[in-house]
Amino acid sequence: MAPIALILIPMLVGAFAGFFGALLGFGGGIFIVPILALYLGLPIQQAIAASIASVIATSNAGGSSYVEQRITNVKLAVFLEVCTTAGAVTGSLLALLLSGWLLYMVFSLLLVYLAAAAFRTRGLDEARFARNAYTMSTPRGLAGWLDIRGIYFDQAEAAKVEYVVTTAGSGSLFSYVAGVGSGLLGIGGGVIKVTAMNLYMNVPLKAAIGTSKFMIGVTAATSALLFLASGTLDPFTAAPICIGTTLGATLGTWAMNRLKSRTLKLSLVALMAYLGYAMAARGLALSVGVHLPTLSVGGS
Amino acid sequence: MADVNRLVYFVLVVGMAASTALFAVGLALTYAPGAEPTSTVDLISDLPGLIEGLAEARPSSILCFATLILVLTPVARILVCALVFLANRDLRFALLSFVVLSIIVTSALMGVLLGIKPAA
Repeated sequence: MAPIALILIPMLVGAFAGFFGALLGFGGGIFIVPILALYLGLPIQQAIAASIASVIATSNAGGSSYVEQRITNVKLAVFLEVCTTAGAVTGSLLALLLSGWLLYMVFSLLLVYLAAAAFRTRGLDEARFARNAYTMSTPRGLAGWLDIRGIYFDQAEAAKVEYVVTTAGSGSLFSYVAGVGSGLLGIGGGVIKVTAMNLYMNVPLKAAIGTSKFMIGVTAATSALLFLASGTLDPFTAAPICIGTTLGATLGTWAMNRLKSRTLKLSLVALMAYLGYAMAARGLALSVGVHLPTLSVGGS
Repeated sequence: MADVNRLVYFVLVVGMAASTALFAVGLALTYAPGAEPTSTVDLISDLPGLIEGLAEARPSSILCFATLILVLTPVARILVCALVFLANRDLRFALLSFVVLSIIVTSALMGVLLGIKPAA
């Protein structure tokens, strides 16, 4: 392949994944890994390592923009990072004990359940804005002790949005499960955290996306350090993808705050439904050898 | 009272700009007309080699250094969160930040020392 193609193709792949990752608060590895492995012929370990580096790049770029706009809630991120990183460690240990196909099926069911729950509540933000529920809710228990509040300017609504985080328990449980998924299956869990924050913790969708985008770099950093130390993370491969994801994520953060919450949520539903399907397909391939068509290769 | 958002934003932007600029320079030097073919540098086992390579502006060393800055940026921003919360006497969140930092550092050190690769 010509040198210019070696740079431009991964850069374009990264820009695409970075843009949609910033829009919906996920890493984008689901797109990057199969394209690098299938179409550019990279070994699967190298493709995953490059994808992990690009997740950090998109989190640095997207996270910084959302922090500047105050869409990211730094305190909420720190609290949930405890759950996610603890979950990732648990997941790495569980991976040594449990069968892969069963885990894929369990996570597939969880994603389909969350996709259905997100679809049922596609007008949730608008309804909560209308009755001022984001501001008027009362935090209880752990959420009361943490007392996390946030305020940002929603450009699509042309209004300031204030909220108070409630029911930290269920949100932390979902973040822990998302972390377990990251340690077990190599999925970042961004979509699980976004949905959990919005459905169960009284966090507006855009604040959930901004907070998730900020958090995913931390979950990916540990894996990236291990890949780098073992020599699997090849900087020559990672460089053009990371430049692309940085540019894509910067554009994605600009677009996200200009879109209606309902549009973002329906896109999230479609993404989760696809991820659920891809995981079920992987589980079926591992258990009974039936191969359903997906983009995924090796992992999810 | 220090503004955690402003300081975290500063860390992320510096990390993002530095790694992206070094990636661009490294790629430009790698594929420049007349450039010699290069190989990657193993950071952990050859740290002196990396420093030497940076001093000589070797593309492989520049790209490795860019990757290291990229990967360490989220870790640095947790450290900054912990220190800012501590300075603001917000001990709950300082403690939570230090817990996250210790989990990451412990996992990474154990992984490096035991030679563990992440699952694929």
